[in-house]
Amino acid sequence: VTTRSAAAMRTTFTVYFVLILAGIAIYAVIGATHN
Amino acid sequence: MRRWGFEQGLSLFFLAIFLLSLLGQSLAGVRVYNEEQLAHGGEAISWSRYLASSHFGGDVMENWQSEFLQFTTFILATVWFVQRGSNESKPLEDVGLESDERQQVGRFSHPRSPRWARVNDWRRRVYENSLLIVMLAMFFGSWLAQSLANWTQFNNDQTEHGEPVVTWLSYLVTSEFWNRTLQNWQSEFLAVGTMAVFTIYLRQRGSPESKPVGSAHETTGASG
Repeated sequence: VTTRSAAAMRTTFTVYFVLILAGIAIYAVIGATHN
Repeated sequence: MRRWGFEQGLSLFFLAIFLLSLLGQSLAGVRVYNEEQLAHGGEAISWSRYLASSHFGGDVMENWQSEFLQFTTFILATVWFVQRGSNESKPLEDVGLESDERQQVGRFSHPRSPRWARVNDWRRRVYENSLLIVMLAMFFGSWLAQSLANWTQFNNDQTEHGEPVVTWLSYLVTSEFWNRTLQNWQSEFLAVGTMAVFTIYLRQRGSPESKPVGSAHETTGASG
């Protein structure tokens, strides 16, 4: 596995991870603050 | 760049159709919301305001939580349950947590093994369950977010109808919350069970979700 491939895998994993956590956090706050 | 796209193709494809579906849901959702508002003498809201609403958030989160629950139960159930002939099952004799040698951990690890798989302490206990832990956390997180967003929406409806608002804990025991929750769970469990059963007899050439086309019906867990 090349360095670029390894970096791409990490990036993809991070994008998914952050997207999901952000979605959960945003709508938990929106719900909790009665928006 | 083309190589990069090829190697990340599966995740990029699903990310793209996820974002397109979410966009479509938000556009359809704001129309439904505004039609209801106008029918009840309320005011229409903008699309961007709708994106930041509990109405949209609740709809998104109730589907997310059921997907993460689906994978949480699938990951855990396939350790301890098998299905003869299914591609979704491992071979019947492998039921359980399997040997360290098979799992390439501790003294059976190799130089390219993840660092936490090579050690023999709490870090390995965490790492060998990390997929389940993260999926479970995402399930509870999105279920919590669903409950908060649905609760706010529920109270908005209560207020519009001149009914008293309820606390979050009270909302958690309403049939409204459990109707929204369980209607998603049942479909996920059916879908997983269907995959487990259908892959006994049905095939898709080229897919790792299927056994090889010529594989015998009684062969269990034949794909990599």
